[in-house]
Amino acid sequence: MSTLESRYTLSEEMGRCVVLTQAANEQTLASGMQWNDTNRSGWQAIIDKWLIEWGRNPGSLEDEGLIPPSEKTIDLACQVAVALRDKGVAAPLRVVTNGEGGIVFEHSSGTWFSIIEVHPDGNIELATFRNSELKSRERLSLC
Amino acid sequence: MAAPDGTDPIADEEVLYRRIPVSQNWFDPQVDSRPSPQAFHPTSRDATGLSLYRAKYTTLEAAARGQRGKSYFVALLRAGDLRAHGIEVVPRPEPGEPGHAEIPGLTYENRKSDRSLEWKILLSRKLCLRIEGPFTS
Repeated sequence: MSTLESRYTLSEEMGRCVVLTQAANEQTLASGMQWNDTNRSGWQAIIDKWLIEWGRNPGSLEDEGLIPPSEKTIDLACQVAVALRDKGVAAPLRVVTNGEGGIVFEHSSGTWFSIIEVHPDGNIELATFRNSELKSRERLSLC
Repeated sequence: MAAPDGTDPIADEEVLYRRIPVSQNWFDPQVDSRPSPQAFHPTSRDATGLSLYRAKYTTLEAAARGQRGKSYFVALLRAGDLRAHGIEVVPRPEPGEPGHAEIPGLTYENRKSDRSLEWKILLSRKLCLRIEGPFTS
């Protein structure tokens, strides 16, 4: 499976995150169209290579002292990824587990670093850092 | 000089090891030369502080030892670099592990605090000297 249907649209606050991220990345690219294609394929690779594979083979995430994400959390992370992809948010640097049942999308751009964390209870949180200093931390929601 | 029981204070120039499981995608040299901040996220086993190992007491291979059949990277940190950013590190020897150390300010209980988030970013983006491995257990 390479494509997931998004059941959600972005909430207002996640939309703001989208705009900020996109603006930062567009400055470094000559063509907006190229950026969109690269960005979309980046998200798709995250979905196909990691999220879908984790869903198919949850045993691969078992490790001592760590709690792998449930099928429900992986599904929610897929919905977040699809929503962000379709909204034009820059593709993340990587997607990782948080070791206690959650999934984290990491973005890096110069001195900025941000994480979008999908918690096992369904909460979604965005935290943004500059030079390792926390600049903002807020709860996000999918409408 | 290393004390046999591992109770000697950790010197600023000492190198410390942090084990990183390959299975969680917390480090991929093809993606980024630095590990994910999640590599420094305390688990329920880190009740009194984030676990590290002192290089003067152990080898990289021993520090990487984990679940049988699984592979692990090892992140290298310098004690003085951590202290320069306000992150204290103390010896916490365990039976058979004299080189065990901890960051007492980063625990399972306070793992979601703003400061803990900042420290995880600092450790991964700024203070990690390099990554070795992977090593298979």
